[in-house]
Amino acid sequence: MSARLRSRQPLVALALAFAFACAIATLVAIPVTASALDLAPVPTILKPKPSALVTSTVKMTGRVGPLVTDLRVTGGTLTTFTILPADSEGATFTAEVSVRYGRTTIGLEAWDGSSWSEAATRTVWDLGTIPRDKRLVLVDKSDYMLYIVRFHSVIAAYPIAIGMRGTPTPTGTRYLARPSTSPNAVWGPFRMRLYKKVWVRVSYIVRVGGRNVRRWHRVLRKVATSYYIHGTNDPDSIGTPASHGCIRMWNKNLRVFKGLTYRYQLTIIRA
Amino acid sequence: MNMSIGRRWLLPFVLVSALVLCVPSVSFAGIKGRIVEGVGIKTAKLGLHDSTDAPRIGGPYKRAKDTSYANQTVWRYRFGSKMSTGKYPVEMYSHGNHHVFTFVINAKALVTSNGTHVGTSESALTSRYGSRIKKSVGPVYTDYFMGTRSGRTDFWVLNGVIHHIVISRY
Repeated sequence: MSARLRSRQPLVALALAFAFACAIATLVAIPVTASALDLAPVPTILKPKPSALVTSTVKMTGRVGPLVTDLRVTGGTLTTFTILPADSEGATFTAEVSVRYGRTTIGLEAWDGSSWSEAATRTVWDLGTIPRDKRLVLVDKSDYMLYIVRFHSVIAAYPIAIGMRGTPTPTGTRYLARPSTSPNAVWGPFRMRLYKKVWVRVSYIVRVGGRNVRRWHRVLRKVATSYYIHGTNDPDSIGTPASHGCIRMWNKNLRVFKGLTYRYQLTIIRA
Repeated sequence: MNMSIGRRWLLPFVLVSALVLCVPSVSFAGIKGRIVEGVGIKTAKLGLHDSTDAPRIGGPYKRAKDTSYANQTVWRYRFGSKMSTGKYPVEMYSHGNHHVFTFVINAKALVTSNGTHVGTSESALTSRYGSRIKKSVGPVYTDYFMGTRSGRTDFWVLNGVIHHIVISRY
């Protein structure tokens, strides 16, 4: 019997060591948990939705804990806020935050009289005034970015290269074709041609008084331009005006971009 | 007999040696010089004919034509030999009418009058130019630019140092 006990001594020692370590860990963890509990509850942001498009000012609504009396924001400027009377579960707040152009991540923290909560974050995009189309590609030459907008949210944003100052990328409304195989490594794996709508005169023949008479009318057609969205063999050029008018992207982004767009998707290029 | 063979090979040996030693020195020597902000490189200027500007920059160059730009022609000149970064020391672009509209400088050997070149730190750049340059932050690079439409200089800064310099006109 004593021999069996002696053989189990290492196991017993290990078990004791494990129990000791657990006790120490619990003692260390208790103050941390306690301090976390001391914080005010994190606000819940209901609006705007993630990656929403906004125009200089964001109207935020959400819920905070019942004892919250103040809010503060990071990433933007809090202009006004209101906290409605609280019930047992919390209170509803509304806040207006002014943001700058481009991408902004707003952090919202709540004060419950003793401490600030951790920040609830929401990323929004201010891209100025854009058409209220459900889906479009927006190329912004001023900040070398291409945005894919869907249902008034930005679902992707990629840095691009645009035309040099002597060969600028034209602005306006275009339509994006499906990719065609790139004939040259300069354009990366493939390229997608941009079309534009132009009025075209077309003729047709009508029979008048026993004679064939040619008549003309105008139709709006999509016509191919010489500009493409394509990849590159010069990754360093992205983020600068470097092309001869086309829009360049990193090849990895181009492959994802292809999957997020469809034939003749509305593409707006603006200065 | 041995002497005659030696003399026979002496002249080709000297010529080949001279060629091997001279070609790199010529190609590298040709792309050193002064950047004139908003104007050009050395005596090469924006707006001049490319056949005038190319010899002024110096060194060997390659010329290529790009006709894909809206059915217009753009001429691209690459000066010197390819560097370890995969770039050429100097690139020059001209329109179909051969008027130069852009110089791109990727080599450290080309320096502005106040000593700024590719590789200069961002802080040194801002201290040297002060309020003469404006800043524009992009998704990849930070652009410090100066000048007007007829002659603009862009210092493209990446990771705190100048990555390349562009002199261009609209």
